[in-house]
Amino acid sequence: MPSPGAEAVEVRGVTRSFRGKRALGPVDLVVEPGAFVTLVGPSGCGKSTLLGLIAGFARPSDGSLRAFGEPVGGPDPSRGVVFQEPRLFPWLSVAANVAFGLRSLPKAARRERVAELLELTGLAEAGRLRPYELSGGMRQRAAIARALAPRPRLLLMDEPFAALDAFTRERMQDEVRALWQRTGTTVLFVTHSVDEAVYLGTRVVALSGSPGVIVLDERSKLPALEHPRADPGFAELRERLTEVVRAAAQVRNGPVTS
Amino acid sequence: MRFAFRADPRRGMTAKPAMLRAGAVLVLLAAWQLIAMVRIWPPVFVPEPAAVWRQLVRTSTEGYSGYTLAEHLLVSLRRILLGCLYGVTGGIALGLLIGIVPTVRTLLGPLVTFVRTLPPLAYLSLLVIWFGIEEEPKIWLLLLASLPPVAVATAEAVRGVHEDYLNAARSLGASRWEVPFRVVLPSALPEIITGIRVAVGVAYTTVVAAETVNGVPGIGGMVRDAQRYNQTDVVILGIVVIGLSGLLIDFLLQTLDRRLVPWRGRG
Ligand SMILES: Nc1ncnc2c1ncn2[C@@H]1O[C@H](COP(=O)(O)OP(=O)(O)OP(=O)(O)O)[C@@H](O)[C@H]1O
Ligand SMILES: [Mg+2]
Repeated sequence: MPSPGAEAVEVRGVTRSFRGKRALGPVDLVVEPGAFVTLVGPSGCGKSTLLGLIAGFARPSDGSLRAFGEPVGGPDPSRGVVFQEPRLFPWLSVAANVAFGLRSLPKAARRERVAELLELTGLAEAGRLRPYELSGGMRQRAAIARALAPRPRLLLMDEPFAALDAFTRERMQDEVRALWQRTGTTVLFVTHSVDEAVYLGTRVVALSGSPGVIVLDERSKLPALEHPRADPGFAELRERLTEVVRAAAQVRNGPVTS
Repeated sequence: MRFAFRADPRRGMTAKPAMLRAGAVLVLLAAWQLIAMVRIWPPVFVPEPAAVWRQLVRTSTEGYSGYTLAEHLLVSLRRILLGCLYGVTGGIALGLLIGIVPTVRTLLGPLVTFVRTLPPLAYLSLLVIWFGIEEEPKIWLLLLASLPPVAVATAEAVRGVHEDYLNAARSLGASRWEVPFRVVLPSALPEIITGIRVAVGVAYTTVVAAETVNGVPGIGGMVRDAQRYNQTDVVILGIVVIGLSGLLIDFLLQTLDRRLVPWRGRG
């Protein structure tokens, strides 16, 4: 059983190499429960790799990972994942996709939970549709509903809005923020957008160019505000983060650590 | 030129192509009648359409070689159905194993390809030696003919499943043993159904040939007997019946495909 006082995520000295070439790390990252961590970094620096390691899809080459005090030994329903592509199962209806992770519930409870999640993500009318009948934004919301279904304590999101238009994207950001406030789930959110990272993150983390190591890790009060973008702190943090990411992208090898 | 290219694959045949097709059949029949009438070749080579029609009526009522046309056809269809049923079931299971388990792939992958490249009639003699000349060798032949296309299609599709789907399922609590059935098979379904259509086609071409050995009742047996007595009209009748029933079966499979895989091309 997860220990009650444990950190949501503990990444200690984690590296990951492909064919002997290091792609990530070493990374140390401790995330407190309830945080909304946004992770930015240049393309190819290992953001997806790190997320996959925390999700349990792969093993680190070195170091250790814990989630809520337990060593990460593989994928687990307590760690939900939303991919860059929605990856809904095309042979299932939207409702059945959301219900995929609710196998253990009795039928009535399952139906109730699915209805609740569809309501929560604004898909109440879309339960019977197939994924290919949804718009891009609706698909991504369905993917979020599916990931939330087993009540994960940690939600891992890998550039979930990258494929959406700017308008839909901003609306989805607000929806995710509201979801996070309502459910109290810890969120680790990878993004390419500095603006998005500053808008959403109670903690903003930046990785350097390949192999990615953490070059910035800051707490932020902005997401708690009513209108984060209107706050002078928003532009300030965005500027700083942009600088860091730009510098990180230029120094391809990052700070060398052996 | 009509641009029917995936405008809406669900839309049924509209009036125009239906008329076009009927017209094409009529033109073909007319040409046939003409050729038969001018007697370029004797009727033993090219019988008149009317003669074939008479044979259709006669074989349907009086029968041929002791069985009516419907009985010949049903027996052939039954063989195809049974052979394909075993072949498809085995093909899916084998393809799943080959696609998922690397050891099985190394062991059986080349064997499946080997059998697939053989013309089914090449091993008919062997099957006759093993199983005699009754139903058994015919079913075995169709099984062996229809299994490889399904196995290959399934294995390819299984290997092509994006790992995100597998990872998504695993983090939603699906166990290692559930994933093949809840995720891998359904996402391979489009390719599997395509494989089944290929398999049924192969079974069709195979069954008629297989029925040349003790194939009565059976369409192939009927054609074989007719050829022996130079009854060309019966031979042509047999060919037409086989072709039409094949069209019908493929149409049914296409319908099944649209029902089961509505996301084809949009997933
Ligand atoms: N399965 C793999 N095999 C070999 N190399 C890999 C594999 N997965 C990732 N890599 C390498 O690891 C590095 C980090 O990849 P990763 O996908 O984590 O980057 P990313 O930060 O998510 O990039 P992006 O922002 O473009 O999504 C890349 O250089 C990539 O080439
Ligand atoms: Mg990535």
